[in-house]
Amino acid sequence: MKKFTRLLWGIVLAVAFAMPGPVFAEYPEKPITYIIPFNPGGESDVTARLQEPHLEKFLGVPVNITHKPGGGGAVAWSEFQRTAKPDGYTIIGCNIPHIIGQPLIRKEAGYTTDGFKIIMWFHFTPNALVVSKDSPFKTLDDFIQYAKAHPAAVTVGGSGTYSANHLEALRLEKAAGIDLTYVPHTGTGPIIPALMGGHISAAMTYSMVGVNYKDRLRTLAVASDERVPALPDVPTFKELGYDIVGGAFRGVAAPLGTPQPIVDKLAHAFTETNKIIANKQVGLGFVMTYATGDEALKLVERMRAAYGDVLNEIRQKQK
Amino acid sequence: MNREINTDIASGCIGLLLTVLFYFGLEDVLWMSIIFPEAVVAIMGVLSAVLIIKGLVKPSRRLIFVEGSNVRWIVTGVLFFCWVMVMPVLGFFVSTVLFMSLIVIYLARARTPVTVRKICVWVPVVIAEVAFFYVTFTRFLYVPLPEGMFF
Amino acid sequence: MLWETMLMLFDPVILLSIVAGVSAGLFVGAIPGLTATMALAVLLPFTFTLPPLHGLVALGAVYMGAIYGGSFAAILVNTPGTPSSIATAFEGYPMAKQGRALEAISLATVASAVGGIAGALFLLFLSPPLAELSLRFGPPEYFWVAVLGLTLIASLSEGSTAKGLLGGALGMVIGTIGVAPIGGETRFTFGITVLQGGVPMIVALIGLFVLPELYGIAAKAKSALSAVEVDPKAKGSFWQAVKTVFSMPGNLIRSCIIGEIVAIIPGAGGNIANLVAYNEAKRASKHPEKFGTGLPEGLVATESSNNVTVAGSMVPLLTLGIPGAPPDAVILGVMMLHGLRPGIELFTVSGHLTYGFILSMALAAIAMVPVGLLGGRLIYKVIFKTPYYFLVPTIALATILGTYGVRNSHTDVVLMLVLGTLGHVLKQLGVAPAPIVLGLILGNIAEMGYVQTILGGQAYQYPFLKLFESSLSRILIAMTVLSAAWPYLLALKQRIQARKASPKEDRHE
Repeated sequence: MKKFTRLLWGIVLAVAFAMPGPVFAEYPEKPITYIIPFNPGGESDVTARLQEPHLEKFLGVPVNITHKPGGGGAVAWSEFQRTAKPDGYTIIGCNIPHIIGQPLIRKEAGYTTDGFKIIMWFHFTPNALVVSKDSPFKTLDDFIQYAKAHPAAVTVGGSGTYSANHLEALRLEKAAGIDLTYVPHTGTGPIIPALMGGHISAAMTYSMVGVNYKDRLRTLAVASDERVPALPDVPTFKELGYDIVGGAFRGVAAPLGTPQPIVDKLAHAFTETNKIIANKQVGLGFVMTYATGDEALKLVERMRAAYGDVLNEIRQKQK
Repeated sequence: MNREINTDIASGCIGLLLTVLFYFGLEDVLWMSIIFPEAVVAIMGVLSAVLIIKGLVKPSRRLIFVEGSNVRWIVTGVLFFCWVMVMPVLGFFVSTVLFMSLIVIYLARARTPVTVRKICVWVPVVIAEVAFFYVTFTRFLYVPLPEGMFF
Repeated sequence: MLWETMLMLFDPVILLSIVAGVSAGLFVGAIPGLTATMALAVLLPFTFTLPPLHGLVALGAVYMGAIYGGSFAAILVNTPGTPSSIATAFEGYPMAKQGRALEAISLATVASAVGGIAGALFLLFLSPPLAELSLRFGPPEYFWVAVLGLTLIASLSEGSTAKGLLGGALGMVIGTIGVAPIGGETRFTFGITVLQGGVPMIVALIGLFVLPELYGIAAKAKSALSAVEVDPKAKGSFWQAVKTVFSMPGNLIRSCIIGEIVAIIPGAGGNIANLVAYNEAKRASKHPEKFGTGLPEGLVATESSNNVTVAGSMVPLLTLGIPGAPPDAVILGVMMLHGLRPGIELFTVSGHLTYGFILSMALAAIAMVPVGLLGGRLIYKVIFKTPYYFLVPTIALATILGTYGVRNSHTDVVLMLVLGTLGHVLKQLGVAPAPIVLGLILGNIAEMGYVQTILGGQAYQYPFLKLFESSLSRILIAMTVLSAAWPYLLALKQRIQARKASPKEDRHE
């Protein structure tokens, strides 16, 4: 028996020496910090809270969510790129088009679009043109006809400036040849009372708004490739003849230079989590995506190209 | 510093100084972003000017910083700044224990003679206190406190 | 249905989560910098494992406790624990300095409980009409609300109004640092990336209120509390406080109504309600000049009005899905996750749950009394017994942690120290911190309201005319004018009265 024990130890030692060092420190071995660059209670936060228990199960360590709101996300993103260690223990929520638009338009955003190692884009919330239930606009056509006849009189609310909502409104103006007045708001939250109270004529916002406030709001069109499952009766812009597809992608990123095996492990955990929380999120109007690795990078490129014209025009105007 | 001063002119001057600082911070961007800041900076300038004029015409004089020792609050303030400045270097725990102990010892001198034995009691109390907050914040509230060269 | 729902709440687990929630909220609220929103966000994951009702009950209790807990720090160290108790410090701290800290805590407790219950009643019975009223606030109305709020400066600035206005302007300038709420471009960043996010109101609040106090304690080498001998039995009793609070029904009713109206305006919460209620209490008082010296009236006004906003701000939340105040956004998130869609069906289809939640907030308000009286005494004793040289660094520690915790930013802590030190100097010169914080809160609302109004009026020849279009705007303008002219009207009235009182006039009435 003793002999056998000794033999066993021998094997263990031999294996230990033969193996390259780092493998022993199996990632992850301590809690992971998951930074949300927005306020508590927003979509990014709620999604992260949904993910948290499942991520902990798949990774085997606690995942701590912390908030660092400010500057439309830029405060957290710039600090992340400056200070986060590429060891996989600090990850951050990322949004398109925010990380594309801000560095291009702001003088000192403090971070770059390519300065992240994207782990995964896990869902997409298409833009949607929403009006109040008692609005005279019953269809997108009503809306466009009226806007043609009354330039600048139609006010379209949206969340933020140079945001997904804003850029989409600009694209709609171009595609339909109309002149709208875009009124930025400080988030999706304030859009809802503004619509219900008739303070704006319409809103270019996210599809969830149309889903969650069905009783009082009407969605005229959504900017996705296919109809959104939670809004089966609402046409897409494409169906109506306007080539407008866009919205916000939410995802998660690690610092540049994070070792690939760690990124893969995180991507796996997020993918599995996404499958589990899908049924809850799809019902709320989200479209789940599973873009990891090269696919995630390609998505950034594709969206950069899609918004490029509009963004460049804004930049020209600024100068 | 314990002198009677014209508080109208003094506060007006501080206001004017800040107005100048922010005036040079104004940039030429979209009207939506800058119209309001321009307005409030102008308002601040006008109010500062009004105060200075009032100070010349109908001054209100008052003793300031009269209560207690000025040296003591200034040193305390400097210790606060140092505490926060070294935090990213030494880490939250170490810097806080260090500076809280320093502040306790410094302030206690005004009340009681400080002996080595007293310090031997105070420092562990400080450590216990900091440990309590440290654990509460990092473990329960999930606030990642600044880490330094130690942890 | 109400009766059944009420019985449902007498479940040991629910009662326990109410008491635990209130206690946790109280602790968080009492530490400057830790806000109700933060407490709710931290608790969120725990509620996922609970059934919807239990989860909502726990969150409601934490919210209630946090808003109330803010009064402790205000009373004992002159530092509002949350922005909802700024004005509590105006009366509570002078009371504490006179050795009446326990009396102040008892009064705050009773007033908070009354406010909490009143808020729940508003929510229960008046939701639909109030929700419709809240929708009428658009950009122009917000602008006028902010302007109306700025007229409070006259009464908040101790002494010189001109200095108070300067403070208000400074607050508004500080508030414009960072990304423009509407234009999206950055202002006043001076090349510092972190300033894109601006100066969070909490950071300014902590710096401007706490640091001058700490410097003062350090300079005097004694804390204000340890300066006076206290007879613990004197007037601190609960029943005495109940009597005092209910001896001013007019004040209570007025403060509760103010709290409710502010609460339903999306984006404005206890932070504005307590100041407005304080101001109105002062204005209605027979002896306004005594405000600021430790008057129970002021304390009762602020603490009842801010706790009304807890349940009160859920009126637009439950009926329309619009958070009335920042912490409500977290509660909305929880409801969405449990598939509870705000709207009338919340009151019909899931009635048990909704009414249970509303009633539980009233229970939480009642639970504040025992929890608060015990906890208040404990905190009081700790602060009273702690030697000043421990008190200063300990409060500084809590302050630093609170500031840091707002968004995990070291720069914010530096900002807090800079603002606080500047605030200390300004306070000595007669520029009080309250107008600066008020400017900071209202500046943002005014800016958004103004720019959005101008955008909305693009099709007009003169876009600014939109500011005067709606009847609600006009009412608000009239109120602003009245509010600004009030001190002069008062002086006029006194002069007329003085003339009337003169013996020559012989009137028959």
